[in-house]
Amino acid sequence: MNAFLLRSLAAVIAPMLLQACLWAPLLHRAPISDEIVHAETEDGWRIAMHHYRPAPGTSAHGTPVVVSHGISANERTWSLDEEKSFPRYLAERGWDVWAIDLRGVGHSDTPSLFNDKSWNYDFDDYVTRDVPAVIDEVLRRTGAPRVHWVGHSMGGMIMYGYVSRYGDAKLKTVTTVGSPVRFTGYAGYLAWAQEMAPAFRDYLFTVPERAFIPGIAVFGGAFRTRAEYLVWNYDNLSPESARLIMYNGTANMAGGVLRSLAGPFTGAPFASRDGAIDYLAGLSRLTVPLHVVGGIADNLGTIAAITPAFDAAASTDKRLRIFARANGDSHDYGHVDLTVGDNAPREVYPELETWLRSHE
Amino acid sequence: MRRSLLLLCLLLLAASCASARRSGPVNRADVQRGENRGPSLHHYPGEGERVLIVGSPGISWRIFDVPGFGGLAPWLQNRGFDVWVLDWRDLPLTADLDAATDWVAAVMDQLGSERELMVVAHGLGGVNVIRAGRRDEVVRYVFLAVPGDLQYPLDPVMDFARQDWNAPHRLSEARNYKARPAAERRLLDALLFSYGTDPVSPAWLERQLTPVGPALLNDLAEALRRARWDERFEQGLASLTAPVTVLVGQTDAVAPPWQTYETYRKAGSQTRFYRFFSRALGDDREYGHVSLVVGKDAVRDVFPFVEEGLELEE
Repeated sequence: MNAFLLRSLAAVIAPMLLQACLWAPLLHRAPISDEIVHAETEDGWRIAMHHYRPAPGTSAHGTPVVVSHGISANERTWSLDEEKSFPRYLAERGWDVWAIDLRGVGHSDTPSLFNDKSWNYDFDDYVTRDVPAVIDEVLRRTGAPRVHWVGHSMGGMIMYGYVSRYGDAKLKTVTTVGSPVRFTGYAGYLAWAQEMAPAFRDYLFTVPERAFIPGIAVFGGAFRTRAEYLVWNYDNLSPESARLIMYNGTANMAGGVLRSLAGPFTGAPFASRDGAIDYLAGLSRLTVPLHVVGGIADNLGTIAAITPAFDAAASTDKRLRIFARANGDSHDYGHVDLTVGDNAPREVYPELETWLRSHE
Repeated sequence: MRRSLLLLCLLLLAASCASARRSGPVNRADVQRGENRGPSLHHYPGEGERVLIVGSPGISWRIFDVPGFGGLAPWLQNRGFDVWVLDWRDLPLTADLDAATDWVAAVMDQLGSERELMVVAHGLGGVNVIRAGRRDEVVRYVFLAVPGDLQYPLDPVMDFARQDWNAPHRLSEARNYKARPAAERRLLDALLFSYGTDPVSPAWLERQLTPVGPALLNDLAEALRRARWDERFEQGLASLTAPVTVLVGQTDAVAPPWQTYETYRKAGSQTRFYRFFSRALGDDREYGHVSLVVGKDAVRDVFPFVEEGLELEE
């Protein structure tokens, strides 16, 4: 990279990092979990597990719940503060909850100048290393035979991949929230991006979101851009929550992960790195109860994108739930407001918890 | 002096009234079907290409020309199109889905017998246009919120599908809205009270519901229960060869994007265009089923895409 480019990058990123520091007293929120422990993957990454113990006085459920975030996010996607925290909501109702940071984000190992980790990992590393390590570690610590899995966005996709490879013997149920598997029905610049992506697929590099999103977080909600509406619906997410998400809940996107997701995004099968395992067809191995959740205003996990998994799963006990005003909800839900929207604690969390309880 | 001022005020008032008036009168015409009178049409004369607007049976043609406000029909007329709007009110209450489709086919054949025709269809009206199959005289199709399949309907629509629609007029009883069963209220909510119908009021929209016979409603409910239209629809959609434009509001609870996308995907035409309306794509608001064609925001966001669809090149 030439010096001019480096200087240009520094000129853009440095002020943003400075801003991020300035806003820290205003926007930084420490994790609210009871403890943070780690699982170690077979390739030596330490995966953070935010543990929410069952609240004292509640009747404990036997099966632990693993909660996973999606791409460009971390554990805070599910746990913005004490009120908007699905793990805390579950813990207060007797569940033993483990909310994870996938490799490279949050409190998990992150590539830096001071370790040997790199940003070259991809989607299959999540599927074949992070997920098995987390499930085994939770089972070891709790002594339970199986876990409930709840994944948002890519956090559900990696579970589809895991089941396709390893089956569902260690799973009690699977819940996916806004998790796309077939990227169809897009319009406007999303369709344009789909057309352009193949040309750039091999050149996708790590997007250092942590270097600039926190710096502009203070403007969250001020302009309500179409890019923001892509990920959440401001009718259902206060500007304050948007700022907190931008500051605390964003994460760098690894180039390898972007490249591996560019395939399905542009119409290629949702499959393993070498193409040998089709992660959609592999859902014929998913026989445990499946709960597929979406929002009608979700522009990333659109209903067209999430329902093929619902159809492909072999589960005989499966439920599709679309959060929409027409279905009696207060708002039309977008991608992120399904997890930390203003009304999620009142509308989404109870339904997810009720469904888990009915399958305990 | 006072008289001059009064005269000036009257002149200004007359000028403003003239500018606010629709640019063309509405004439009513009937299509003959054998010995029986067929559907009525409302005509907005223009020098340009001929456009037929087909709305849903059960909703008045007035949603395309709201009194005192305007709508898609006068908007297209102002752009030079020769616009005809189908009025479903004369459809017999004994008519089923096939009969409704035959009406639309008769209208297309009659209007297209003299010159090429373009069709703009909304909701169930579009389903009938598609079921009518390919017509050589039709050179463009613009489908607004027309579902190509019926997978994953939202709750109010499924509630509707579960009912046995044996009594006619049920959808027309909107004035008794509060007294209606909850399931019907929810369907009406989803259908009518979508975002962005300003300045049209919900009360006005309620009054635009017109009678629909039980046979048609039961056909619709049956299609919903099997989550797909019938073979006539599938064959009709595959047979289309003229350019097709499919437009839908992202939060349309009646014909949601994942269903309308199938209209785009399965159309036989080589030239196709699909667009949903959403704030994520830069539109000023989310759009529902009716707000896609009613309201001042539709004029700005949606209608230009309708016009583009009518000019789509093969």
